[in-house]
Amino acid sequence: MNVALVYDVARWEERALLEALKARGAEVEIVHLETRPFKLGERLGAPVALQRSLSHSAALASTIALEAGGVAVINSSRAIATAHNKLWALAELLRRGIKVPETFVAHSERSAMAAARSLGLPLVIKPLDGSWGRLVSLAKEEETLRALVEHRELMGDPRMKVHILQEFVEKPGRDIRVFVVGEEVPVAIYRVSEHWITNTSRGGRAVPAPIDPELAETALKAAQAVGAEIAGIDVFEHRERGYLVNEVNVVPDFRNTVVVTGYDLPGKMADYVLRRAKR
Amino acid sequence: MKAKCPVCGREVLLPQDVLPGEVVDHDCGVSLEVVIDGSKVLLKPLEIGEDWGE
Repeated sequence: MNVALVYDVARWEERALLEALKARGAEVEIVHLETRPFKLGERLGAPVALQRSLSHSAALASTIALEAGGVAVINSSRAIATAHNKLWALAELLRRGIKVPETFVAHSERSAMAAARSLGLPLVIKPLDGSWGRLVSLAKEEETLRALVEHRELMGDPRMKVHILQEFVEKPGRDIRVFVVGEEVPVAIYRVSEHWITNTSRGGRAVPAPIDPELAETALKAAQAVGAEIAGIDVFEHRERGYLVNEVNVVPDFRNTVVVTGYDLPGKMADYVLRRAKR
Repeated sequence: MKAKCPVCGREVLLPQDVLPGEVVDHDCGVSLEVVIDGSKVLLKPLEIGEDWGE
């Protein structure tokens, strides 16, 4: 069975996926984006491709090009576009009744300050698209928020003039990264940190986490909300409101999860991709 | 397979089936990216993109 592995740089994750696919007898077509251009509409040898590009823009563009040639890409362009736009993703989650942190969108300093009066301080301000916690800031005082908005508005990138403001969720020193593969929710980790940003790329420590039925259902619904088949769902534990979904990651990092849980997540993903290729 | 670290100049051992774009962590502390140019296998320091990662 042919499948394609699409990537820009091959880290531990991409190598593990390649080995898992090969171990299952797959012929893997390597699609390295830096060296391989696409003619729009061209066909690959493989009917299914696993998208593993770290660059958000490259992941979306290459997926669109592959889909034009009839390749089923995991995840789809719709899932990638939706999940990489934090506002769009939150909107889709909310529409499906999934609890999310209270969120405002503001387009000026004036409207950001008005949102802050409604949300209260501290609050979190973040860009529309970002990764590894970059440019996600905590504003504890009005003056800090005003300065952050001013700095963002001077950045030049017009997308930075769209401000996402969210309630600051008091976390119990951790959040949860839950993995969805198809219809299953096989493994989860806590990301433990004394810092309010818990991403493992920012120093958060990975620890195995239990998956109760409510967490599994929330994660599955969240992945389906953006149309993702394979995803890492970031979940906060709110004292009163329970599980809140903060983000859906459609090309999730998973090395730390495999290291601390011992769970064969690349194998699980490979099995799923090969099942999809047989459909 | 062997290549030269562009930072410290020492030898870096690579797997026989090394991939273009593969990330290799070298003993000198640098992360390197594999560049395959025809039959040549080269290394360059890994540059993290602004919109990378999840």
